[in-house]
Amino acid sequence: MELEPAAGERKTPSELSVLSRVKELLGFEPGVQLRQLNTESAYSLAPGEVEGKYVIEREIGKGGMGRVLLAFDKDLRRRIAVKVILPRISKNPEHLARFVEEAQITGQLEHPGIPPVHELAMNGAGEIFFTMKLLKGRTLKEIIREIHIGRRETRERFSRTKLLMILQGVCNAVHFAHEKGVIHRDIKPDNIMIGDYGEVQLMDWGLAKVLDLPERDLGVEEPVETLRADQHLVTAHGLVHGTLYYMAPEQAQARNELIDRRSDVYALGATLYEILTCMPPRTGENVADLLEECRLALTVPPSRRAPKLKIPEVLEEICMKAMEYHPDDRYQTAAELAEAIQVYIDGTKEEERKRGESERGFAKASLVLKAYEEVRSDLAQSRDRLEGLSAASGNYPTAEEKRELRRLREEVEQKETLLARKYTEAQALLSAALAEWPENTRVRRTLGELYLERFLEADAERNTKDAIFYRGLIEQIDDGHLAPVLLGHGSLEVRVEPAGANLRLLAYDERDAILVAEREVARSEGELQMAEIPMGCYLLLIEKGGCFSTRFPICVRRNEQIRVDLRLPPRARIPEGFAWVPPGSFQMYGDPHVIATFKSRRTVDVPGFAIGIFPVTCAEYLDFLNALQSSDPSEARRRAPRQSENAGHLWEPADGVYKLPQWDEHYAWTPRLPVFGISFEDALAYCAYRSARDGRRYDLPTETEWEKAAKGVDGRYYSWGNSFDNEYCNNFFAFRDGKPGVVGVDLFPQDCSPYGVRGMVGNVGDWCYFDDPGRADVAGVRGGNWAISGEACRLAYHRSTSKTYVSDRFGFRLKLTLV
Amino acid sequence: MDTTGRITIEILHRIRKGESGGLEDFVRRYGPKLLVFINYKLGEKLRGKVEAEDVLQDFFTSLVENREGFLDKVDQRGIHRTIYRLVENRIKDLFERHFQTKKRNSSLEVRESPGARSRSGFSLAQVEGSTASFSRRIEAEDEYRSLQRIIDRLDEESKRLFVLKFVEESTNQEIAEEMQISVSTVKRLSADLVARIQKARKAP
Repeated sequence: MELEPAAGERKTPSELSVLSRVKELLGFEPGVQLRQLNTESAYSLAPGEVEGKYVIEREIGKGGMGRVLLAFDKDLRRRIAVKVILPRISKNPEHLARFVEEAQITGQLEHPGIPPVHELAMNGAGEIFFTMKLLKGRTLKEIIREIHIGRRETRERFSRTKLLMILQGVCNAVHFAHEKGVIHRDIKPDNIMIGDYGEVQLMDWGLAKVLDLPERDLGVEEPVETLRADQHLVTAHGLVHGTLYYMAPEQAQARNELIDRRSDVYALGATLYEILTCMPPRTGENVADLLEECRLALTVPPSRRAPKLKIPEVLEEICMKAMEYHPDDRYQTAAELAEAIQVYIDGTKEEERKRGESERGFAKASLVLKAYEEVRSDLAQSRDRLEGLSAASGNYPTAEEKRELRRLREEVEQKETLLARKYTEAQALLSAALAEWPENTRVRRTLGELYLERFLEADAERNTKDAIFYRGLIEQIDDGHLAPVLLGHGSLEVRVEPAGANLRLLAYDERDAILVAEREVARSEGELQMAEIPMGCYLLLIEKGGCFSTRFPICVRRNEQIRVDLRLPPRARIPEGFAWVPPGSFQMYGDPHVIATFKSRRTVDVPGFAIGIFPVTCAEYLDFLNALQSSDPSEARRRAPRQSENAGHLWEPADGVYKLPQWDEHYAWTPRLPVFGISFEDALAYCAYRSARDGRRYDLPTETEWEKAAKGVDGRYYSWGNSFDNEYCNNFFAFRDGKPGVVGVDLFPQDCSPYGVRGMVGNVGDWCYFDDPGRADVAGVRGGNWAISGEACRLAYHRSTSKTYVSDRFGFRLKLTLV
Repeated sequence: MDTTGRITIEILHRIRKGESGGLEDFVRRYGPKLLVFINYKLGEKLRGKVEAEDVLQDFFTSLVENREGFLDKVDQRGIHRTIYRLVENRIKDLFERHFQTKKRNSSLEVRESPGARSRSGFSLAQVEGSTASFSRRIEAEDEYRSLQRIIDRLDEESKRLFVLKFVEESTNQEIAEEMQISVSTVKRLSADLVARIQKARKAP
């Protein structure tokens, strides 16, 4: 390489003087001694001074080797930067050569990403300086720091993608330099300047090195040539140059012979690391630690270093590849790194489009969901109106009521249809939005909750097929958010007074269609606490001396937190033959197969009461009639069992005393037969008789009380479980070979409720107070009877009839209110 | 050929020509890492019986003595791998000799240097003909101690990867072939290794 211009070319005076002067100084040419340089501490290039056409204004930067001054170019009337070597530094030939080299390298690297050098010169005082474009803006380091401390304006202006594009600009500039045979060796965020108008420039080429020919992978570009090529100056081995935080391992190991363009690729990767994490890749607390980390390239992956920043996996891979320990494992050129970033950005753009689509879909779905909620609320109101009118009009609505009922039914149907449409519409929009961008958590969860709504409905209605279907849909899209709901565990806390009661919690299992509580789940004294209990039905058995032995059914519904505070009644408060139904809520109606009456599921809170284990028997009723006979024979006759309201008496007094008739073709009379053929009013008269006789307050149960006593709290359809079996209760098909009819109360032990109440499903129905207090003229009859079967025996089945009506299918049982 | 290999061969040529500084550059380049490698390969059985420094000294001495024919030994895996394999063979020889087998110098025809055998302690700069400066010696010693300190704190499984990656300086592809796993597994294991090293370094 020739330092002097080719023969025939004209040298400018300054070029001649600077180069020859430097060469002399470096000892390439005889005649000049180092001491001849201006090595005094005072600078002649100082603010306020004029150097040729430059007016020095002020110092704007200072580094290890030189100062940067702001100057005004009088000719071109523009501000420029002047970089001048520090006098004490210029004593060292190596440093001086490097300073000149920096000017030469930067000057020859004409690229938009590298600041242009205008002139290399020496002033009269022997100070060497070069002038370059004045860069206005902020360094990447400053920008990252502002992002890190959360400055909103910077965050908004410099998105991750924007910073990646800046880094790409740097990669391109570095690749250009590499192609010209130059490596920078000190790439870091501090050396990347982002101008006010977005221009990106890689500064400070003070450590740049022109690779020896064999080290270069020659590009098509004309190589950069500097003083150093004279080979009188060799880069010292074993010295570490650069900034530890961003340095390639071979650089940190001072293996200068190994440093090539891939060392710059490493530093670009380290800069990417800081863009991603807002932290430099090294964590060492002192120079020795840092050096060790650098030598082995001990880099904690960005996502582990800054887990909250949600660093995309692809970017992390790019970063870690650029920062591999072995140069062969890195991107081999800066252009390859830029290309990898570009592929990510292109992918991000596509992802942003998809994200936009997804969000637009979500917005549309939100509107539909709002309408869906409105329709649902309207529907609930319409259903309430229909149910109210249906209950109020009873079995014989007026013509006007019928019209209104029909209108309301249509209204409900229309709203149900509309609701289904809105559901489907919302579901379709959300599904499409999720398909567009599967990471959209809002969409994922909203869709999950929409499915959950249907799942819970199906689950509550025991619609197994739908429940499985919707559970499957939820499981497909759920991010774990709904898993606890699907699992359904609840909690249970029980406190019983008086203290010290023995508690045994048994789980119900189905055996031959009968729910059997035998599997012990927990045992405790006084109180029971279970932070987690699987969904399902349980029976709590409570024993305490002097208190009534209590059966307390518990149903743990999905994620339900159950707290029970129970005070046990003294044993003497509840007479023989009665079961105690402890206070608490239960789900009334809600049997989807009971369609004859329009009753939707409701949760009802019921105070504690006692109820006859068996219906009132013929023997018990005989006592009542004979007691009545002695005081008022006509009243006794009025209350005697009969076939219709006022005729067809089944029992006749003999010698002034009522006795059970002999077996006849219709009835197999026995004392343990439930009494039948009596009206609601007769039943009330019996209650009054028993109350007076026993000194207790007997009454008939309300329909609510009856239903709770019959099925407990788990919403079962029959007293024993959820499947009908002809052999489990006295119904029309109970006897394969026998004739249907009323049988003794002790038969059919399977027809037994969780509280131990018998014969609720079959044999005879029970007179109850009608649920609607506005209808004083009718009474309710609950439970199936011997003359019907299957659906009509379901516990939620509900009838209302005149209080004077009598039937051989209806009897009654007593209720005792505990005050 | 990669840059690393090219430079090593240049150094070996300089050693062959008897240029000053050639062996020094070689020692600087390979000394600390070879010492860690030897320590690792000696294993528990031999570590108390054989000094790693002696093995290294033997190798360097044999390198100088066999400098004319050394480059001919470079196999297709390249000079870098060849150096490590030759050292490994040397250790195998030692192992066999120590446990009284008759095989000797199976792969590297190196004459024993009685002087080297008697030496003990760190000998990176004691190679005959070396002109390593004091500061370089300290630097090399630092590098060796730093690597050895780290490897001593690793479990056996991690040591293997550490030696392959940071001592032998194999590429991910080479490690994958050596360990018979995929390159992506090498990357994953390397990330785990770095995490373990960082944890070990920060432990008291």
